[in-house]
Amino acid sequence: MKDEQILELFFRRDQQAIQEVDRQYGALCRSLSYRIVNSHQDAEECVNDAYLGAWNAIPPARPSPLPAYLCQIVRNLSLKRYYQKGAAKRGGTYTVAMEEIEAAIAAPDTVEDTVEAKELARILEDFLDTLPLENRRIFLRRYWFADSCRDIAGLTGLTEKNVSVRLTRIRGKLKRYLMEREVFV
Amino acid sequence: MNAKLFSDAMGELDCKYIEEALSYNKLHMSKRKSKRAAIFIAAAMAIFVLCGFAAYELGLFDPWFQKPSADPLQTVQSAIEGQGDKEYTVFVRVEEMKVDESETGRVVDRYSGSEFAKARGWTDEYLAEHFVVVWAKYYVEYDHTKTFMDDGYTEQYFYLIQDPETGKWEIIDNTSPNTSASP
Repeated sequence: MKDEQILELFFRRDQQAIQEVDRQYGALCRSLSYRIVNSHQDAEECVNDAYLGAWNAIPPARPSPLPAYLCQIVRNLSLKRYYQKGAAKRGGTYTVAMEEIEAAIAAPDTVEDTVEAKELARILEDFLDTLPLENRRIFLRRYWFADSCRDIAGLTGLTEKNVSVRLTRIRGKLKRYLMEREVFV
Repeated sequence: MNAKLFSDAMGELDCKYIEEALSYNKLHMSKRKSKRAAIFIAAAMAIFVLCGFAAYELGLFDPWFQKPSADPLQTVQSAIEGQGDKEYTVFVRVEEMKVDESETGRVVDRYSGSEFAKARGWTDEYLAEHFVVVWAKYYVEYDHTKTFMDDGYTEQYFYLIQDPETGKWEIIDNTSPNTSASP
Protein backbone atom coordinates (compact mmCIF):
# COMPACT_ATOMS: atom_id res chain seq x y z
CA MET A 1 0.00 0.00 0.00
CA LYS A 2 1.31 3.43 -0.92
CA ASP A 3 1.88 6.14 1.67
CA GLU A 4 -0.95 8.24 0.23
CA GLN A 5 -3.36 5.35 0.72
CA ILE A 6 -2.15 4.84 4.29
CA LEU A 7 -2.67 8.54 4.98
CA GLU A 8 -6.18 8.28 3.59
CA LEU A 9 -6.86 5.52 6.12
CA PHE A 10 -5.62 7.83 8.88
CA PHE A 11 -7.88 10.59 7.63
CA ARG A 12 -10.85 8.21 7.58
CA ARG A 13 -9.92 7.20 11.16
CA ASP A 14 -9.62 3.62 9.95
CA GLN A 15 -7.50 1.60 12.39
CA GLN A 16 -6.19 -0.42 9.50
CA ALA A 17 -3.87 2.55 9.03
CA ILE A 18 -1.80 1.39 12.00
CA GLN A 19 -1.65 -2.16 10.64
CA GLU A 20 -0.50 -0.88 7.28
CA VAL A 21 2.08 1.40 8.87
CA ASP A 22 3.37 -1.51 10.90
CA ARG A 23 3.43 -3.75 7.84
CA GLN A 24 5.35 -1.18 5.80
CA TYR A 25 7.58 0.47 8.36
CA GLY A 26 7.38 -1.65 11.52
CA ALA A 27 10.77 -3.28 11.01
CA LEU A 28 12.42 0.06 10.21
CA CYS A 29 10.94 1.70 13.31
CA ARG A 30 11.78 -1.20 15.63
CA SER A 31 15.36 -1.44 14.49
CA LEU A 32 15.84 2.30 14.83
CA SER A 33 14.40 2.30 18.33
CA TYR A 34 16.35 -0.80 19.36
CA ARG A 35 19.65 0.74 18.33
CA ILE A 36 18.90 3.64 20.66
CA VAL A 37 17.26 2.00 23.67
CA ASN A 38 19.14 -1.31 23.39
CA SER A 39 16.12 -3.30 24.58
CA HIS A 40 13.55 -5.12 22.48
CA GLN A 41 10.80 -4.49 25.00
CA ASP A 42 11.55 -0.78 25.24
CA ALA A 43 11.80 -0.57 21.46
CA GLU A 44 8.42 -2.25 21.05
CA GLU A 45 6.85 0.18 23.50
CA CYS A 46 8.46 3.18 21.81
CA VAL A 47 7.20 2.06 18.42
CA ASN A 48 3.68 1.49 19.75
CA ASP A 49 3.77 4.94 21.35
CA ALA A 50 4.95 6.36 18.03
CA TYR A 51 2.00 4.76 16.25
CA LEU A 52 -0.32 6.30 18.80
CA GLY A 53 1.41 9.64 18.31
CA ALA A 54 0.95 9.38 14.56
CA TRP A 55 -2.70 8.39 15.04
CA ASN A 56 -3.30 11.49 17.16
CA ALA A 57 -1.38 13.83 14.84
CA ILE A 58 -2.81 12.66 11.52
CA PRO A 59 -5.08 14.47 10.73
CA PRO A 60 -4.61 17.39 10.69
CA ALA A 61 -0.96 16.64 9.83
CA ARG A 62 -0.36 15.09 6.42
CA PRO A 63 3.31 14.15 6.65
CA SER A 64 5.26 13.63 3.51
CA PRO A 65 7.35 11.58 3.42
CA LEU A 66 5.61 9.32 5.93
CA PRO A 67 8.59 7.07 6.85
CA ALA A 68 10.83 10.03 7.76
CA TYR A 69 8.01 11.42 9.90
CA LEU A 70 7.54 8.10 11.67
CA CYS A 71 11.27 7.74 12.22
CA GLN A 72 11.40 11.18 13.79
CA ILE A 73 8.67 10.27 16.27
CA VAL A 74 10.29 6.92 17.03
CA ARG A 75 13.69 8.55 17.48
CA ASN A 76 12.34 11.25 19.80
CA LEU A 77 10.47 8.75 21.97
CA SER A 78 13.42 6.36 22.01
CA LEU A 79 15.84 9.12 23.01
CA LYS A 80 13.47 10.19 25.76
CA ARG A 81 13.58 6.68 27.13
CA TYR A 82 17.32 6.49 26.53
CA TYR A 83 18.01 9.53 28.68
CA GLN A 84 15.59 8.32 31.36
CA LYS A 85 17.86 5.32 31.84
CA GLY A 86 20.94 5.72 33.93
CA ALA A 87 24.14 6.09 31.90
CA ALA A 88 25.30 2.67 33.09
CA LYS A 89 22.19 1.00 31.69
CA ARG A 90 22.24 2.55 28.25
CA GLY A 91 24.68 0.71 26.02
CA GLY A 92 23.85 -0.09 22.43
CA THR A 93 24.90 1.40 19.12
CA TYR A 94 23.63 4.86 19.91
CA THR A 95 25.86 5.17 22.97
CA VAL A 96 28.89 4.17 20.91
CA ALA A 97 27.98 6.67 18.20
CA MET A 98 27.59 9.48 20.74
CA GLU A 99 30.92 8.63 22.35
CA GLU A 100 32.50 8.92 18.92
CA ILE A 101 30.95 12.27 18.17
CA GLU A 102 31.64 13.67 21.60
CA ALA A 103 35.35 13.70 20.84
CA ALA A 104 34.69 15.78 17.75
CA ILE A 105 32.38 18.30 19.34
CA ALA A 106 33.81 18.77 22.82
CA ALA A 107 36.34 21.53 23.20
CA PRO A 108 38.68 21.16 26.20
CA ASP A 109 38.14 24.69 27.38
CA THR A 110 34.40 24.76 26.89
CA VAL A 111 32.71 25.92 30.03
CA GLU A 112 29.14 25.87 28.93
CA ASP A 113 27.03 25.22 25.89
CA THR A 114 27.03 28.27 23.76
CA VAL A 115 24.41 27.34 21.22
CA GLU A 116 20.84 26.17 21.32
CA ALA A 117 19.88 22.90 19.71
CA LYS A 118 17.95 24.64 16.94
CA GLU A 119 20.83 26.96 16.21
CA LEU A 120 23.25 24.08 16.16
CA ALA A 121 20.89 22.19 13.85
CA ARG A 122 21.12 25.01 11.29
CA ILE A 123 24.93 24.93 11.58
CA LEU A 124 24.92 21.17 11.14
CA GLU A 125 22.68 21.50 8.10
CA ASP A 126 25.16 23.94 6.58
CA PHE A 127 27.93 21.52 7.36
CA LEU A 128 26.02 18.60 5.84
CA ASP A 129 25.52 20.62 2.67
CA THR A 130 29.29 20.79 2.28
CA LEU A 131 29.54 16.99 2.22
CA PRO A 132 29.19 14.80 -0.84
CA LEU A 133 25.85 12.97 -0.91
CA GLU A 134 27.27 9.61 0.12
CA ASN A 135 29.19 11.01 3.07
CA ARG A 136 26.12 12.94 4.15
CA ARG A 137 24.08 9.77 4.11
CA ILE A 138 26.76 7.88 6.01
CA PHE A 139 26.89 10.62 8.65
CA LEU A 140 23.11 10.56 9.05
CA ARG A 141 23.00 6.76 9.19
CA ARG A 142 25.54 6.77 11.98
CA TYR A 143 24.50 9.74 14.10
CA TRP A 144 20.78 9.98 13.40
CA PHE A 145 19.81 6.36 12.80
CA ALA A 146 22.59 4.96 15.04
CA ASP A 147 23.48 2.31 12.47
CA SER A 148 26.58 0.29 13.14
CA CYS A 149 29.49 0.55 10.72
CA ARG A 150 28.67 -2.94 9.55
CA ASP A 151 25.08 -1.95 8.79
CA ILE A 152 26.25 1.11 6.90
CA ALA A 153 28.74 -1.00 4.99
CA GLY A 154 25.86 -3.28 4.04
CA LEU A 155 23.78 -0.32 2.87
CA THR A 156 26.50 1.43 0.92
CA GLY A 157 28.43 -1.49 -0.47
CA LEU A 158 31.60 -0.12 1.16
CA THR A 159 33.75 -2.15 3.49
CA GLU A 160 33.30 -1.73 7.23
CA LYS A 161 36.82 -0.32 7.44
CA ASN A 162 36.10 2.17 4.69
CA VAL A 163 32.96 3.35 6.49
CA SER A 164 34.91 3.74 9.71
CA VAL A 165 37.62 5.77 7.98
CA ARG A 166 35.08 7.98 6.26
CA LEU A 167 33.29 8.64 9.54
CA THR A 168 36.58 9.57 11.20
CA ARG A 169 37.31 12.07 8.41
CA ILE A 170 33.78 13.51 8.55
CA ARG A 171 34.07 13.97 12.31
CA GLY A 172 37.41 15.70 11.83
CA LYS A 173 35.89 17.96 9.23
CA LEU A 174 32.95 18.70 11.52
CA LYS A 175 35.30 19.61 14.34
CA ARG A 176 37.19 22.06 12.12
CA TYR A 177 33.90 23.44 10.77
CA LEU A 178 32.58 24.10 14.27
CA MET A 179 35.86 25.57 15.49
CA GLU A 180 36.01 27.96 12.54
CA ARG A 181 32.59 29.21 13.52
CA GLU A 182 33.60 29.39 17.17
CA VAL A 183 30.73 27.21 18.17
CA PHE A 184 32.68 26.03 21.20
CA VAL A 185 33.60 29.38 22.64
CA MET B 1 28.78 21.15 24.02
CA ASN B 2 27.80 17.65 24.91
CA ALA B 3 26.41 14.67 23.08
CA LYS B 4 22.89 15.41 24.34
CA LEU B 5 22.92 18.82 22.68
CA PHE B 6 24.30 17.31 19.49
CA SER B 7 21.62 14.63 19.62
CA ASP B 8 18.89 17.24 20.12
CA ALA B 9 20.28 19.26 17.23
CA MET B 10 20.29 16.20 15.02
CA GLY B 11 16.63 15.79 15.91
CA GLU B 12 16.00 19.31 14.61
CA LEU B 13 17.50 18.64 11.18
CA ASP B 14 15.38 19.26 8.16
CA CYS B 15 13.37 16.23 7.10
CA LYS B 16 15.09 16.15 3.72
CA TYR B 17 18.30 14.82 5.30
CA ILE B 18 16.38 12.00 6.96
CA GLU B 19 14.63 11.18 3.74
CA GLU B 20 17.93 11.23 1.91
CA ALA B 21 19.45 8.76 4.35
CA LEU B 22 16.32 6.62 4.31
CA SER B 23 16.58 6.24 0.56
CA TYR B 24 19.43 3.85 1.28
CA ASN B 25 16.90 1.48 2.81
CA LYS B 26 14.84 1.44 -0.37
CA LEU B 27 17.92 0.93 -2.50
CA HIS B 28 19.22 -1.67 -0.13
CA MET B 29 15.89 -3.46 0.08
CA SER B 30 15.53 -3.68 -3.67
CA LYS B 31 19.13 -4.83 -3.96
CA ARG B 32 18.59 -7.26 -1.13
CA LYS B 33 15.43 -8.62 -2.74
CA SER B 34 17.28 -9.09 -6.02
CA LYS B 35 20.16 -10.66 -4.16
CA ARG B 36 17.82 -12.95 -2.24
CA ALA B 37 16.07 -13.98 -5.42
CA ALA B 38 19.42 -14.70 -7.05
CA ILE B 39 20.56 -16.68 -4.02
CA PHE B 40 17.28 -18.60 -3.94
CA ILE B 41 17.52 -19.46 -7.64
CA ALA B 42 21.18 -20.44 -7.30
CA ALA B 43 20.38 -22.58 -4.25
CA ALA B 44 17.44 -24.23 -6.01
CA MET B 45 19.60 -24.94 -9.03
CA ALA B 46 22.39 -26.31 -6.85
CA ILE B 47 19.94 -28.59 -5.02
CA PHE B 48 18.45 -29.70 -8.32
CA VAL B 49 21.87 -30.50 -9.75
CA LEU B 50 22.99 -32.24 -6.56
CA CYS B 51 19.79 -34.30 -6.38
CA GLY B 52 20.14 -35.14 -10.03
CA PHE B 53 23.74 -36.13 -9.52
CA ALA B 54 22.89 -38.21 -6.46
CA ALA B 55 19.98 -39.87 -8.24
CA TYR B 56 22.20 -40.59 -11.21
CA GLU B 57 24.89 -41.98 -8.98
CA LEU B 58 22.36 -44.11 -7.16
CA GLY B 59 20.83 -45.19 -10.43
CA LEU B 60 17.40 -43.97 -9.31
CA PHE B 61 16.23 -42.82 -12.68
CA ASP B 62 18.70 -44.70 -14.71
CA PRO B 63 16.57 -46.47 -17.35
CA TRP B 64 17.04 -50.09 -18.08
CA PHE B 65 18.69 -50.92 -21.39
CA GLN B 66 16.02 -53.47 -22.17
CA LYS B 67 14.98 -55.25 -25.31
CA PRO B 68 11.24 -55.94 -25.07
CA SER B 69 10.62 -59.53 -25.94
CA ALA B 70 7.73 -61.95 -26.22
CA ASP B 71 9.29 -63.74 -23.26
CA PRO B 72 9.30 -61.66 -20.07
CA LEU B 73 12.37 -63.52 -18.83
CA GLN B 74 14.31 -62.52 -21.93
CA THR B 75 13.28 -58.90 -21.44
CA VAL B 76 14.58 -58.95 -17.88
CA GLN B 77 17.75 -60.72 -18.93
CA SER B 78 18.41 -58.09 -21.59
CA ALA B 79 17.85 -55.37 -19.00
CA ILE B 80 20.22 -56.88 -16.45
CA GLU B 81 22.87 -57.62 -19.04
CA GLY B 82 22.33 -54.14 -20.42
CA GLN B 83 23.70 -52.87 -17.12
CA GLY B 84 27.07 -54.01 -18.41
CA ASP B 85 26.93 -51.29 -21.04
CA LYS B 86 26.77 -48.58 -18.40
CA GLU B 87 30.02 -46.86 -17.64
CA TYR B 88 29.90 -47.60 -13.92
CA THR B 89 29.35 -51.36 -14.33
CA VAL B 90 32.46 -53.51 -14.28
CA PHE B 91 30.81 -56.89 -14.56
CA VAL B 92 27.31 -58.40 -14.50
CA ARG B 93 26.07 -61.97 -14.76
CA VAL B 94 22.51 -63.27 -14.51
CA GLU B 95 22.35 -66.16 -12.09
CA GLU B 96 18.70 -67.11 -11.93
CA MET B 97 15.30 -65.85 -13.09
CA LYS B 98 11.67 -66.90 -12.82
CA VAL B 99 8.19 -65.53 -13.18
CA ASP B 100 7.00 -65.18 -9.59
CA GLU B 101 3.32 -66.14 -9.67
CA SER B 102 2.62 -65.33 -6.05
CA GLU B 103 4.23 -61.91 -6.32
CA THR B 104 2.38 -61.34 -9.62
CA GLY B 105 -0.94 -62.12 -7.93
CA ARG B 106 -0.14 -59.90 -5.00
CA VAL B 107 0.83 -56.93 -7.17
CA VAL B 108 -2.15 -57.41 -9.49
CA ASP B 109 -4.42 -57.34 -6.43
CA ARG B 110 -2.74 -54.16 -5.33
CA TYR B 111 -3.07 -52.50 -8.70
CA SER B 112 -6.62 -53.66 -9.45
CA GLY B 113 -9.08 -50.79 -9.27
CA SER B 114 -6.36 -48.39 -8.14
CA GLU B 115 -6.03 -44.81 -9.34
CA PHE B 116 -2.54 -45.75 -10.47
CA ALA B 117 -3.92 -48.45 -12.79
CA LYS B 118 -6.82 -46.28 -14.00
CA ALA B 119 -4.43 -43.48 -14.89
CA ARG B 120 -2.61 -45.92 -17.14
CA GLY B 121 -5.73 -47.49 -18.63
CA TRP B 122 -5.08 -50.85 -17.00
CA THR B 123 -8.33 -52.69 -16.42
CA ASP B 124 -8.50 -55.64 -14.03
CA GLU B 125 -8.80 -57.99 -17.02
CA TYR B 126 -5.82 -56.41 -18.70
CA LEU B 127 -3.72 -56.76 -15.57
CA ALA B 128 -4.81 -60.37 -15.13
CA GLU B 129 -3.53 -61.27 -18.60
CA HIS B 130 -0.77 -58.83 -19.39
CA PHE B 131 1.11 -58.26 -16.17
CA VAL B 132 3.82 -60.38 -14.59
CA VAL B 133 6.46 -60.04 -11.94
CA VAL B 134 9.84 -61.56 -12.67
CA TRP B 135 12.24 -62.35 -9.88
CA ALA B 136 15.90 -62.28 -10.84
CA LYS B 137 19.16 -62.96 -9.11
CA TYR B 138 22.35 -61.66 -10.62
CA TYR B 139 25.90 -60.89 -9.74
CA VAL B 140 27.21 -57.41 -10.41
CA GLU B 141 30.34 -55.39 -9.74
CA TYR B 142 30.40 -51.61 -9.98
CA ASP B 143 33.19 -49.08 -10.33
CA HIS B 144 32.86 -47.31 -7.00
CA THR B 145 34.72 -44.29 -8.24
CA LYS B 146 31.64 -43.69 -10.41
CA THR B 147 28.65 -44.93 -8.42
CA PHE B 148 27.50 -45.52 -4.88
CA MET B 149 25.43 -48.56 -5.83
CA ASP B 150 26.10 -51.73 -3.87
CA ASP B 151 27.40 -54.68 -5.80
CA GLY B 152 27.61 -58.42 -5.24
CA TYR B 153 24.82 -60.96 -5.47
CA THR B 154 21.62 -59.06 -6.03
CA GLU B 155 17.95 -60.01 -6.01
CA GLN B 156 15.32 -57.86 -7.62
CA TYR B 157 11.70 -58.00 -8.76
CA PHE B 158 10.78 -56.61 -12.17
CA TYR B 159 7.24 -55.60 -13.08
CA LEU B 160 6.40 -56.09 -16.71
CA ILE B 161 3.47 -55.17 -18.91
CA GLN B 162 2.72 -56.86 -22.21
CA ASP B 163 1.81 -54.82 -25.22
CA PRO B 164 -1.34 -56.55 -26.56
CA GLU B 165 -0.54 -55.56 -30.13
CA THR B 166 3.08 -56.67 -30.35
CA GLY B 167 2.92 -59.25 -27.58
CA LYS B 168 6.21 -57.96 -26.19
CA TRP B 169 6.89 -57.55 -22.50
CA GLU B 170 8.39 -54.36 -21.16
CA ILE B 171 9.69 -53.51 -17.70
CA ILE B 172 7.63 -50.72 -16.19
CA ASP B 173 8.93 -50.80 -12.65
CA ASN B 174 11.19 -52.67 -10.30
CA THR B 175 11.93 -53.04 -6.64
CA SER B 176 15.15 -51.77 -5.12
CA PRO B 177 18.05 -54.19 -5.55
CA ASN B 178 18.53 -56.44 -2.56
CA THR B 179 22.24 -57.11 -2.14
CA SER B 180 21.90 -59.05 1.08
CA ALA B 181 21.23 -62.16 -0.98
CA SER B 182 23.68 -65.00 -0.51
CA PRO B 183 25.68 -66.37 -3.46
